[in-house]
Amino acid sequence: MKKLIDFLSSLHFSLWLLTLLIGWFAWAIVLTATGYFETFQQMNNHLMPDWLSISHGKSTLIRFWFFGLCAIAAALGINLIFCSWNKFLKITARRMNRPAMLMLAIHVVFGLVILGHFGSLLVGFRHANVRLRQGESFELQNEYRVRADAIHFVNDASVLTKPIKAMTSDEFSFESNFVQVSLYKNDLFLKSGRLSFLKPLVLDGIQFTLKNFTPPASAVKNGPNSSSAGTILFISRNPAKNLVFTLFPLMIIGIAVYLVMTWKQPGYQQHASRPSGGGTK
Amino acid sequence: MNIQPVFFFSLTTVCFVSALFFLQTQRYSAEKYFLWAGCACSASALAALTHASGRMPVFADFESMLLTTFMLGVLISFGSPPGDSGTEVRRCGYIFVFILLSFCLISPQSHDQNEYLYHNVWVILFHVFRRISLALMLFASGFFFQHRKNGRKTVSDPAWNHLGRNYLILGAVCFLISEYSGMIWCQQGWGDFWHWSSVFFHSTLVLLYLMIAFHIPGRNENAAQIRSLLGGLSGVFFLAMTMIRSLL
Repeated sequence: MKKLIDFLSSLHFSLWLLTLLIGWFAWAIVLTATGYFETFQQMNNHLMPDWLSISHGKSTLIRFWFFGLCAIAAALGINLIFCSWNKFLKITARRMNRPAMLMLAIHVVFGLVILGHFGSLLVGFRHANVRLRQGESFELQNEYRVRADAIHFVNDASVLTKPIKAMTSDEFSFESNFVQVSLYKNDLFLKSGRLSFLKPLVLDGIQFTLKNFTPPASAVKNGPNSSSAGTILFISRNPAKNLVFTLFPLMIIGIAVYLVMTWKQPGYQQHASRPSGGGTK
Repeated sequence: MNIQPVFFFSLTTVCFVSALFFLQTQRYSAEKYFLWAGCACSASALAALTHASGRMPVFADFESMLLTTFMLGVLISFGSPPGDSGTEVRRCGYIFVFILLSFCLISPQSHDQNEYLYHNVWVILFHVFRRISLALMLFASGFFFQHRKNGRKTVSDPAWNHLGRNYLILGAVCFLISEYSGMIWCQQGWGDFWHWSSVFFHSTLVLLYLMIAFHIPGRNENAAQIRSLLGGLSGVFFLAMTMIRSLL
Protein backbone atom coordinates (compact mmCIF):
# COMPACT_ATOMS: atom_id res chain seq x y z
CA MET A 1 0.00 0.00 0.00
CA LYS A 2 2.80 2.38 0.92
CA LYS A 3 4.48 1.65 -2.41
CA LEU A 4 1.28 2.52 -4.24
CA ILE A 5 0.88 5.78 -2.31
CA ASP A 6 4.51 6.65 -2.95
CA PHE A 7 4.01 6.04 -6.65
CA LEU A 8 0.77 8.05 -6.79
CA SER A 9 2.47 10.98 -5.10
CA SER A 10 5.70 10.75 -7.11
CA LEU A 11 7.06 13.19 -9.64
CA HIS A 12 7.64 10.20 -11.94
CA PHE A 13 3.88 9.62 -12.05
CA SER A 14 3.34 13.36 -12.75
CA LEU A 15 5.86 13.17 -15.58
CA TRP A 16 4.20 10.18 -17.19
CA LEU A 17 0.80 11.86 -17.02
CA LEU A 18 2.07 15.19 -18.35
CA THR A 19 3.82 13.42 -21.22
CA LEU A 20 0.61 11.54 -21.97
CA LEU A 21 -1.32 14.83 -21.89
CA ILE A 22 1.12 16.35 -24.39
CA GLY A 23 0.45 13.43 -26.73
CA TRP A 24 -3.29 13.79 -26.13
CA PHE A 25 -3.36 17.49 -27.01
CA ALA A 26 -1.04 16.97 -29.99
CA TRP A 27 -3.57 14.40 -31.20
CA ALA A 28 -6.32 17.03 -30.76
CA ILE A 29 -4.36 19.42 -33.00
CA VAL A 30 -4.16 16.70 -35.65
CA LEU A 31 -7.90 16.07 -35.26
CA THR A 32 -8.78 19.75 -35.73
CA ALA A 33 -6.68 19.80 -38.89
CA THR A 34 -8.22 16.62 -40.29
CA GLY A 35 -11.93 17.30 -40.41
CA TYR A 36 -12.93 17.38 -36.73
CA PHE A 37 -12.83 21.16 -36.35
CA GLU A 38 -16.63 21.41 -36.57
CA THR A 39 -17.09 18.71 -33.93
CA PHE A 40 -14.93 20.67 -31.49
CA GLN A 41 -16.95 23.77 -32.38
CA GLN A 42 -20.13 21.89 -31.43
CA MET A 43 -18.56 21.13 -28.04
CA ASN A 44 -18.11 24.87 -27.53
CA ASN A 45 -21.75 25.51 -28.29
CA HIS A 46 -23.16 23.16 -25.64
CA LEU A 47 -22.54 22.15 -22.07
CA MET A 48 -20.96 18.72 -21.96
CA PRO A 49 -24.07 16.75 -20.86
CA ASP A 50 -26.06 18.33 -23.72
CA TRP A 51 -23.31 17.68 -26.24
CA LEU A 52 -22.99 14.05 -25.16
CA SER A 53 -26.73 13.55 -25.58
CA ILE A 54 -26.95 15.09 -29.05
CA SER A 55 -23.62 14.10 -30.62
CA HIS A 56 -23.54 11.18 -33.04
CA GLY A 57 -21.50 9.64 -35.84
CA LYS A 58 -18.31 11.58 -36.41
CA SER A 59 -18.15 12.68 -32.79
CA THR A 60 -17.44 9.15 -31.49
CA LEU A 61 -13.70 9.69 -31.82
CA ILE A 62 -13.94 13.09 -30.13
CA ARG A 63 -15.97 11.49 -27.33
CA PHE A 64 -13.16 8.97 -26.85
CA TRP A 65 -10.65 11.81 -26.89
CA PHE A 66 -12.65 13.77 -24.32
CA PHE A 67 -13.13 10.84 -21.95
CA GLY A 68 -9.43 10.03 -22.27
CA LEU A 69 -8.64 13.62 -21.35
CA CYS A 70 -10.93 13.40 -18.32
CA ALA A 71 -9.24 10.14 -17.22
CA ILE A 72 -5.73 11.62 -17.48
CA ALA A 73 -6.83 14.82 -15.74
CA ALA A 74 -8.42 12.77 -12.94
CA ALA A 75 -5.18 10.79 -12.52
CA LEU A 76 -3.23 14.07 -12.42
CA GLY A 77 -5.69 15.32 -9.78
CA ILE A 78 -5.04 12.21 -7.66
CA ASN A 79 -1.31 12.75 -8.10
CA LEU A 80 -1.70 16.38 -7.02
CA ILE A 81 -3.67 15.46 -3.91
CA PHE A 82 -1.29 12.69 -2.84
CA CYS A 83 1.77 14.76 -3.64
CA SER A 84 0.43 17.72 -1.67
CA TRP A 85 -0.50 15.59 1.29
CA ASN A 86 2.41 13.18 1.32
CA LYS A 87 5.26 15.54 0.57
CA PHE A 88 4.48 19.22 0.88
CA LEU A 89 2.56 19.05 4.15
CA LYS A 90 5.25 16.90 5.78
CA ILE A 91 8.01 19.20 4.61
CA THR A 92 6.26 22.37 5.67
CA ALA A 93 5.19 20.95 9.04
CA ARG A 94 8.76 19.97 9.82
CA ARG A 95 10.72 22.92 8.48
CA MET A 96 8.18 25.68 7.90
CA ASN A 97 9.96 26.28 4.61
CA ARG A 98 8.26 29.36 3.12
CA PRO A 99 8.93 28.66 -0.58
CA ALA A 100 7.67 25.08 -0.11
CA MET A 101 4.50 26.35 1.59
CA LEU A 102 3.96 28.82 -1.21
CA MET A 103 4.49 26.07 -3.76
CA LEU A 104 1.86 23.98 -1.97
CA ALA A 105 -0.58 26.90 -2.18
CA ILE A 106 0.19 27.39 -5.90
CA HIS A 107 -0.50 23.70 -6.59
CA VAL A 108 -3.79 23.81 -4.68
CA VAL A 109 -4.87 26.95 -6.57
CA PHE A 110 -3.84 25.31 -9.85
CA GLY A 111 -6.01 22.29 -9.01
CA LEU A 112 -8.97 24.59 -8.30
CA VAL A 113 -8.43 26.47 -11.59
CA ILE A 114 -8.53 23.19 -13.50
CA LEU A 115 -11.65 22.20 -11.56
CA GLY A 116 -13.17 25.54 -12.57
CA HIS A 117 -12.42 24.77 -16.23
CA PHE A 118 -14.15 21.41 -15.96
CA GLY A 119 -16.97 22.97 -13.96
CA SER A 120 -17.61 25.42 -16.78
CA LEU A 121 -18.43 22.41 -18.98
CA LEU A 122 -21.12 21.23 -16.58
CA VAL A 123 -22.88 24.09 -14.83
CA GLY A 124 -24.98 27.01 -16.06
CA PHE A 125 -26.28 27.13 -19.61
CA ARG A 126 -25.25 28.10 -23.14
CA HIS A 127 -27.23 29.15 -26.18
CA ALA A 128 -24.97 29.56 -29.18
CA ASN A 129 -25.93 31.34 -32.40
CA VAL A 130 -29.20 32.85 -31.18
CA ARG A 131 -30.49 34.71 -34.26
CA LEU A 132 -32.76 37.63 -33.50
CA ARG A 133 -34.31 40.43 -35.53
CA GLN A 134 -35.61 43.64 -34.02
CA GLY A 135 -38.59 42.93 -31.77
CA GLU A 136 -38.00 39.17 -31.60
CA SER A 137 -37.60 37.24 -28.33
CA PHE A 138 -35.81 34.10 -27.20
CA GLU A 139 -36.84 31.91 -24.26
CA LEU A 140 -34.11 31.00 -21.76
CA GLN A 141 -33.99 28.67 -18.73
CA ASN A 142 -35.80 29.51 -15.48
CA GLU A 143 -38.58 31.53 -17.19
CA TYR A 144 -36.11 34.10 -18.47
CA ARG A 145 -36.74 35.70 -21.86
CA VAL A 146 -34.57 38.07 -23.86
CA ARG A 147 -35.93 40.51 -26.43
CA ALA A 148 -33.97 42.40 -29.09
CA ASP A 149 -35.42 45.92 -28.62
CA ALA A 150 -33.23 47.59 -31.23
CA ILE A 151 -30.52 46.60 -33.65
CA HIS A 152 -28.59 49.74 -34.31
CA PHE A 153 -26.65 49.33 -37.54
CA VAL A 154 -25.30 52.52 -39.07
CA ASN A 155 -23.35 51.19 -42.07
CA ASP A 156 -24.39 49.91 -45.47
CA ALA A 157 -25.95 46.55 -44.57
CA SER A 158 -24.69 44.92 -47.76
CA VAL A 159 -21.27 44.68 -46.06
CA LEU A 160 -22.75 41.99 -43.81
CA THR A 161 -22.59 39.46 -46.64
CA LYS A 162 -18.79 39.53 -46.19
CA PRO A 163 -16.98 37.55 -43.50
CA ILE A 164 -16.22 39.69 -40.45
CA LYS A 165 -12.46 39.35 -40.95
CA ALA A 166 -12.77 40.94 -44.39
CA MET A 167 -14.53 44.05 -43.07
CA THR A 168 -12.52 47.23 -42.64
CA SER A 169 -13.26 49.98 -40.14
CA ASP A 170 -14.25 52.22 -43.06
CA GLU A 171 -17.12 49.99 -44.09
CA PHE A 172 -18.06 48.65 -40.65
CA SER A 173 -18.06 50.85 -37.56
CA PHE A 174 -17.21 48.51 -34.71
CA GLU A 175 -17.98 51.21 -32.13
CA SER A 176 -21.29 52.59 -33.43
CA ASN A 177 -23.11 49.34 -34.22
CA PHE A 178 -24.82 47.79 -31.23
CA VAL A 179 -27.81 45.77 -30.07
CA GLN A 180 -30.23 46.85 -27.34
CA VAL A 181 -31.77 43.94 -25.42
CA SER A 182 -34.19 43.56 -22.53
CA LEU A 183 -34.39 40.71 -20.07
CA TYR A 184 -37.72 39.46 -18.72
CA LYS A 185 -38.60 36.89 -16.08
CA ASN A 186 -42.11 35.45 -16.06
CA ASP A 187 -42.90 38.20 -18.59
CA LEU A 188 -41.93 40.87 -16.07
CA PHE A 189 -39.33 43.35 -17.29
CA LEU A 190 -36.07 43.11 -15.32
CA LYS A 191 -33.31 45.06 -17.02
CA SER A 192 -32.09 46.24 -20.38
CA GLY A 193 -28.80 47.29 -21.89
CA ARG A 194 -26.72 47.44 -25.04
CA LEU A 195 -23.96 45.21 -26.33
CA SER A 196 -21.42 45.58 -29.09
CA PHE A 197 -18.31 43.73 -30.26
CA LEU A 198 -16.08 42.81 -27.30
CA LYS A 199 -18.47 44.64 -24.99
CA PRO A 200 -20.87 41.98 -23.75
CA LEU A 201 -23.81 42.71 -21.48
CA VAL A 202 -24.36 40.90 -18.19
CA LEU A 203 -27.88 40.97 -16.78
CA ASP A 204 -28.82 38.88 -13.73
CA GLY A 205 -25.65 36.78 -14.16
CA ILE A 206 -26.54 36.00 -17.78
CA GLN A 207 -24.00 37.16 -20.36
CA PHE A 208 -25.16 38.34 -23.79
CA THR A 209 -22.32 38.39 -26.29
CA LEU A 210 -22.59 39.89 -29.75
CA LYS A 211 -21.16 37.41 -32.25
CA ASN A 212 -22.21 39.14 -35.46
CA PHE A 213 -24.89 41.02 -37.36
CA THR A 214 -26.90 39.32 -40.09
CA PRO A 215 -27.80 40.98 -43.39
CA PRO A 216 -31.35 42.16 -44.05
CA ALA A 217 -33.62 40.19 -46.39
CA SER A 218 -32.90 42.55 -49.25
CA ALA A 219 -29.22 41.55 -49.16
CA VAL A 220 -29.77 37.78 -49.06
CA LYS A 221 -31.76 35.61 -51.46
CA ASN A 222 -34.59 33.75 -49.70
CA GLY A 223 -33.62 35.55 -46.47
CA PRO A 224 -36.03 36.37 -43.65
CA ASN A 225 -38.73 38.92 -44.27
CA SER A 226 -37.00 41.97 -42.83
CA SER A 227 -35.50 45.14 -44.20
CA SER A 228 -33.12 45.80 -41.30
CA ALA A 229 -30.05 43.96 -40.03
CA GLY A 230 -30.41 41.10 -37.57
CA THR A 231 -28.03 39.83 -34.92
CA ILE A 232 -26.41 36.62 -33.68
CA LEU A 233 -25.93 36.35 -29.92
CA PHE A 234 -24.18 33.89 -27.63
CA ILE A 235 -26.14 33.73 -24.39
CA SER A 236 -24.53 32.01 -21.43
CA ARG A 237 -24.48 31.67 -17.69
CA ASN A 238 -21.27 30.27 -16.27
CA PRO A 239 -21.07 30.28 -12.46
CA ALA A 240 -17.59 28.68 -12.59
CA LYS A 241 -16.01 31.65 -14.35
CA ASN A 242 -15.80 33.82 -11.23
CA LEU A 243 -13.78 31.13 -9.46
CA VAL A 244 -11.33 30.88 -12.36
CA PHE A 245 -11.06 34.62 -12.94
CA THR A 246 -10.28 35.11 -9.24
CA LEU A 247 -7.86 32.24 -8.72
CA PHE A 248 -5.90 32.46 -11.96
CA PRO A 249 -4.24 35.82 -11.15
CA LEU A 250 -3.57 34.58 -7.60
CA MET A 251 -1.72 31.63 -9.11
CA ILE A 252 0.34 33.96 -11.31
CA ILE A 253 1.18 36.22 -8.37
CA GLY A 254 2.09 33.15 -6.30
CA ILE A 255 4.52 31.91 -8.95
CA ALA A 256 6.03 35.39 -9.29
CA VAL A 257 6.53 35.65 -5.53
CA TYR A 258 8.02 32.15 -5.46
CA LEU A 259 10.46 33.22 -8.18
CA VAL A 260 11.53 36.26 -6.19
CA MET A 261 11.98 34.13 -3.03
CA THR A 262 14.13 31.57 -4.84
CA TRP A 263 15.95 33.81 -7.36
CA LYS A 264 19.27 33.32 -5.59
CA GLN A 265 20.44 29.75 -5.54
CA PRO A 266 20.85 28.52 -1.95
CA GLY A 267 24.48 27.82 -1.05
CA TYR A 268 25.91 29.27 -4.22
CA GLN A 269 26.83 32.78 -3.12
CA GLN A 270 30.56 32.09 -3.32
CA HIS A 271 30.37 31.55 -7.09
CA ALA A 272 27.62 34.03 -7.82
CA SER A 273 29.90 36.66 -9.30
CA ARG A 274 30.88 34.59 -12.31
CA PRO A 275 27.62 33.94 -14.09
CA SER A 276 25.77 37.04 -12.90
CA GLY A 277 24.13 39.51 -15.28
CA GLY A 278 25.15 43.10 -15.89
CA GLY A 279 25.66 43.49 -19.59
CA THR A 280 28.39 42.50 -22.00
CA LYS A 281 31.83 44.00 -21.67
CA MET B 1 5.25 47.39 -47.28
CA ASN B 2 6.69 50.72 -46.22
CA ILE B 3 10.41 51.07 -47.09
CA GLN B 4 11.48 52.31 -43.62
CA PRO B 5 10.76 49.09 -41.70
CA VAL B 6 12.48 47.05 -44.42
CA PHE B 7 15.54 49.31 -44.20
CA PHE B 8 15.73 49.04 -40.42
CA PHE B 9 15.05 45.30 -40.62
CA SER B 10 18.06 44.88 -42.92
CA LEU B 11 20.22 46.96 -40.59
CA THR B 12 19.05 44.86 -37.64
CA THR B 13 20.17 41.71 -39.43
CA VAL B 14 23.58 43.21 -40.28
CA CYS B 15 24.11 44.38 -36.69
CA PHE B 16 23.28 41.02 -35.12
CA VAL B 17 25.43 39.15 -37.67
CA SER B 18 28.30 41.49 -36.78
CA ALA B 19 27.70 40.99 -33.06
CA LEU B 20 27.95 37.22 -33.50
CA PHE B 21 31.09 37.63 -35.61
CA PHE B 22 32.78 39.71 -32.91
CA LEU B 23 31.67 37.23 -30.23
CA GLN B 24 33.31 34.43 -32.21
CA THR B 25 36.50 36.46 -32.60
CA GLN B 26 36.39 37.36 -28.88
CA ARG B 27 36.23 41.10 -29.47
CA TYR B 28 33.62 41.71 -26.83
CA SER B 29 33.53 45.53 -26.89
CA ALA B 30 32.71 45.56 -30.60
CA GLU B 31 30.16 42.80 -29.98
CA LYS B 32 28.48 44.94 -27.31
CA TYR B 33 28.19 47.98 -29.61
CA PHE B 34 26.75 45.97 -32.50
CA LEU B 35 24.33 44.29 -30.12
CA TRP B 36 23.09 47.69 -28.95
CA ALA B 37 22.91 48.88 -32.55
CA GLY B 38 20.84 45.78 -33.43
CA CYS B 39 18.41 46.59 -30.60
CA ALA B 40 18.19 50.23 -31.74
CA CYS B 41 17.55 49.21 -35.36
CA SER B 42 14.86 46.68 -34.45
CA ALA B 43 13.24 49.32 -32.20
CA SER B 44 13.33 51.76 -35.13
CA ALA B 45 11.73 49.19 -37.43
CA LEU B 46 8.98 48.63 -34.86
CA ALA B 47 8.46 52.38 -34.46
CA ALA B 48 8.17 52.75 -38.25
CA LEU B 49 5.64 49.90 -38.40
CA THR B 50 3.62 51.42 -35.55
CA HIS B 51 3.67 54.83 -37.21
CA ALA B 52 2.52 53.37 -40.53
CA SER B 53 -0.28 51.19 -39.14
CA GLY B 54 -1.41 53.25 -36.12
CA ARG B 55 -1.52 50.23 -33.85
CA MET B 56 0.76 48.09 -31.68
CA PRO B 57 3.19 45.94 -33.73
CA VAL B 58 2.00 42.63 -32.31
CA PHE B 59 -0.67 41.30 -34.68
CA ALA B 60 1.08 40.19 -37.87
CA ASP B 61 3.86 37.60 -37.77
CA PHE B 62 6.49 39.92 -39.24
CA GLU B 63 6.07 42.62 -36.63
CA SER B 64 5.53 40.29 -33.67
CA MET B 65 8.69 38.32 -34.48
CA LEU B 66 10.57 41.59 -34.85
CA LEU B 67 9.24 42.62 -31.43
CA THR B 68 10.49 39.32 -29.99
CA THR B 69 13.87 39.96 -31.64
CA PHE B 70 14.06 43.38 -30.00
CA MET B 71 13.16 41.95 -26.59
CA LEU B 72 15.66 39.13 -26.93
CA GLY B 73 18.32 41.66 -27.95
CA VAL B 74 17.58 43.73 -24.85
CA LEU B 75 17.76 40.62 -22.66
CA ILE B 76 21.12 39.64 -24.16
CA SER B 77 22.37 43.20 -23.62
CA PHE B 78 21.37 43.55 -20.00
CA GLY B 79 20.87 40.03 -18.66
CA SER B 80 23.62 37.91 -20.15
CA PRO B 81 26.99 37.25 -18.48
CA PRO B 82 29.74 39.71 -19.37
CA GLY B 83 32.90 39.24 -21.46
CA ASP B 84 34.18 35.71 -21.96
CA SER B 85 31.93 34.34 -19.24
CA GLY B 86 28.88 32.51 -20.54
CA THR B 87 29.54 33.10 -24.22
CA GLU B 88 27.20 30.23 -25.04
CA VAL B 89 24.29 32.24 -23.58
CA ARG B 90 24.93 35.07 -26.03
CA ARG B 91 25.74 32.74 -28.93
CA CYS B 92 22.42 30.92 -28.43
CA GLY B 93 20.68 34.28 -28.19
CA TYR B 94 22.10 35.40 -31.54
CA ILE B 95 21.16 32.11 -33.19
CA PHE B 96 17.59 32.53 -31.96
CA VAL B 97 17.62 36.12 -33.23
CA PHE B 98 18.55 34.81 -36.70
CA ILE B 99 15.79 32.22 -36.58
CA LEU B 100 13.30 34.96 -35.62
CA LEU B 101 14.55 37.25 -38.37
CA SER B 102 14.36 34.41 -40.91
CA PHE B 103 10.81 33.70 -39.82
CA CYS B 104 10.00 37.39 -40.35
CA LEU B 105 10.97 36.91 -44.00
CA ILE B 106 8.99 33.73 -44.67
CA SER B 107 5.90 34.55 -42.58
CA PRO B 108 2.67 35.65 -44.27
CA GLN B 109 2.64 39.43 -44.67
CA SER B 110 -1.11 40.02 -44.35
CA HIS B 111 -2.77 40.99 -41.07
CA ASP B 112 -5.25 38.23 -40.42
CA GLN B 113 -6.89 39.76 -37.34
CA ASN B 114 -10.16 41.64 -37.25
CA GLU B 115 -9.61 45.38 -37.19
CA TYR B 116 -11.79 45.90 -34.14
CA LEU B 117 -9.29 43.90 -32.09
CA TYR B 118 -6.39 46.28 -32.71
CA HIS B 119 -7.24 48.64 -29.88
CA ASN B 120 -8.65 46.28 -27.29
CA VAL B 121 -6.42 46.27 -24.22
CA TRP B 122 -6.83 42.54 -23.47
CA VAL B 123 -6.04 41.54 -27.04
CA ILE B 124 -2.93 43.73 -26.99
CA LEU B 125 -1.84 42.36 -23.59
CA PHE B 126 -2.37 38.82 -24.85
CA HIS B 127 -0.04 39.35 -27.82
CA VAL B 128 2.55 41.48 -26.02
CA PHE B 129 2.99 39.07 -23.10
CA ARG B 130 3.22 36.13 -25.48
CA ARG B 131 6.13 37.84 -27.23
CA ILE B 132 7.81 38.74 -23.92
CA SER B 133 7.35 35.16 -22.80
CA LEU B 134 8.87 33.79 -26.01
CA ALA B 135 11.86 36.12 -25.70
CA LEU B 136 12.41 35.10 -22.05
CA MET B 137 12.16 31.39 -22.82
CA LEU B 138 14.61 31.70 -25.71
CA PHE B 139 16.97 33.66 -23.46
CA ALA B 140 16.65 31.02 -20.73
CA SER B 141 17.59 28.34 -23.26
CA GLY B 142 21.04 29.95 -23.58
CA PHE B 143 21.77 29.41 -19.86
CA PHE B 144 20.71 25.78 -20.05
CA PHE B 145 22.89 25.20 -23.10
CA GLN B 146 25.80 26.89 -21.28
CA HIS B 147 25.26 24.43 -18.44
CA ARG B 148 25.35 21.52 -20.87
CA LYS B 149 28.46 22.82 -22.60
CA ASN B 150 30.31 23.22 -19.29
CA GLY B 151 29.18 19.76 -18.26
CA ARG B 152 31.11 18.15 -21.08
CA LYS B 153 34.43 19.53 -19.83
CA THR B 154 34.09 19.31 -16.10
CA VAL B 155 31.48 19.09 -13.38
CA SER B 156 28.82 21.47 -14.66
CA ASP B 157 28.18 24.70 -12.87
CA PRO B 158 24.72 24.59 -11.23
CA ALA B 159 24.42 28.39 -11.31
CA TRP B 160 23.85 28.34 -15.06
CA ASN B 161 20.99 25.91 -14.64
CA HIS B 162 19.53 28.03 -11.86
CA LEU B 163 19.72 31.25 -13.90
CA GLY B 164 18.08 29.45 -16.81
CA ARG B 165 15.38 28.19 -14.47
CA ASN B 166 14.81 31.77 -13.20
CA TYR B 167 14.29 33.18 -16.69
CA LEU B 168 12.18 30.19 -17.65
CA ILE B 169 9.85 30.74 -14.67
CA LEU B 170 9.70 34.45 -15.55
CA GLY B 171 8.77 33.41 -19.10
CA ALA B 172 6.11 31.09 -17.69
CA VAL B 173 4.68 33.94 -15.57
CA CYS B 174 4.45 36.13 -18.69
CA PHE B 175 2.89 33.26 -20.61
CA LEU B 176 0.25 32.88 -17.88
CA ILE B 177 -0.45 36.64 -17.92
CA SER B 178 -0.94 36.30 -21.67
CA GLU B 179 -3.28 33.34 -21.09
CA TYR B 180 -5.28 35.33 -18.52
CA SER B 181 -5.63 38.24 -20.95
CA GLY B 182 -6.69 35.72 -23.58
CA MET B 183 -9.33 34.33 -21.23
CA ILE B 184 -10.83 37.79 -20.75
CA TRP B 185 -10.70 38.37 -24.53
CA CYS B 186 -12.44 35.03 -25.11
CA GLN B 187 -15.06 35.83 -22.45
CA GLN B 188 -15.81 39.20 -24.04
CA GLY B 189 -15.71 38.02 -27.64
CA TRP B 190 -17.21 34.53 -27.53
CA GLY B 191 -19.10 34.41 -24.24
CA ASP B 192 -16.90 31.84 -22.51
CA PHE B 193 -13.40 32.03 -21.03
CA TRP B 194 -12.03 29.09 -22.99
CA HIS B 195 -12.85 27.22 -26.16
CA TRP B 196 -11.89 23.92 -27.68
CA SER B 197 -9.82 25.10 -30.64
CA SER B 198 -6.40 24.62 -32.18
CA VAL B 199 -5.31 27.88 -30.50
CA PHE B 200 -6.24 26.46 -27.10
CA PHE B 201 -4.53 23.14 -27.87
CA HIS B 202 -1.30 24.87 -28.95
CA SER B 203 -1.25 27.04 -25.81
CA THR B 204 -1.92 24.03 -23.61
CA LEU B 205 0.97 22.14 -25.23
CA VAL B 206 3.36 24.97 -24.33
CA LEU B 207 2.01 25.03 -20.78
CA LEU B 208 2.33 21.25 -20.43
CA TYR B 209 5.87 21.35 -21.78
CA LEU B 210 6.78 23.96 -19.15
CA MET B 211 5.18 21.82 -16.45
CA ILE B 212 7.32 18.87 -17.54
CA ALA B 213 10.45 21.04 -17.56
CA PHE B 214 9.70 22.14 -13.97
CA HIS B 215 8.88 18.66 -12.65
CA ILE B 216 12.00 16.62 -13.43
CA PRO B 217 12.71 14.56 -10.30
CA GLY B 218 16.12 14.00 -8.75
CA ARG B 219 19.03 16.10 -7.50
CA ASN B 220 21.95 14.32 -9.12
CA GLU B 221 23.97 15.34 -12.18
CA ASN B 222 21.88 13.20 -14.55
CA ALA B 223 18.68 14.91 -13.43
CA ALA B 224 20.37 18.30 -13.84
CA GLN B 225 21.38 17.36 -17.38
CA ILE B 226 17.84 16.27 -18.29
CA ARG B 227 16.50 19.44 -16.69
CA SER B 228 18.92 21.56 -18.69
CA LEU B 229 18.04 19.72 -21.92
CA LEU B 230 14.30 20.19 -21.46
CA GLY B 231 14.77 23.75 -20.21
CA GLY B 232 17.02 24.53 -23.14
CA LEU B 233 14.48 23.22 -25.60
CA SER B 234 11.53 25.06 -24.01
CA GLY B 235 12.14 28.24 -26.02
CA VAL B 236 12.65 26.14 -29.14
CA PHE B 237 9.40 24.30 -28.45
CA PHE B 238 7.43 27.53 -27.97
CA LEU B 239 8.99 29.02 -31.10
CA ALA B 240 8.18 25.88 -33.10
CA MET B 241 4.57 25.98 -31.87
CA THR B 242 4.31 29.65 -32.86
CA MET B 243 5.72 28.91 -36.32
CA ILE B 244 3.51 25.88 -36.90
CA ARG B 245 0.40 27.81 -35.90
CA SER B 246 1.34 30.66 -38.15
CA LEU B 247 2.26 28.62 -41.21
CA LEU B 248 -0.57 26.08 -41.10
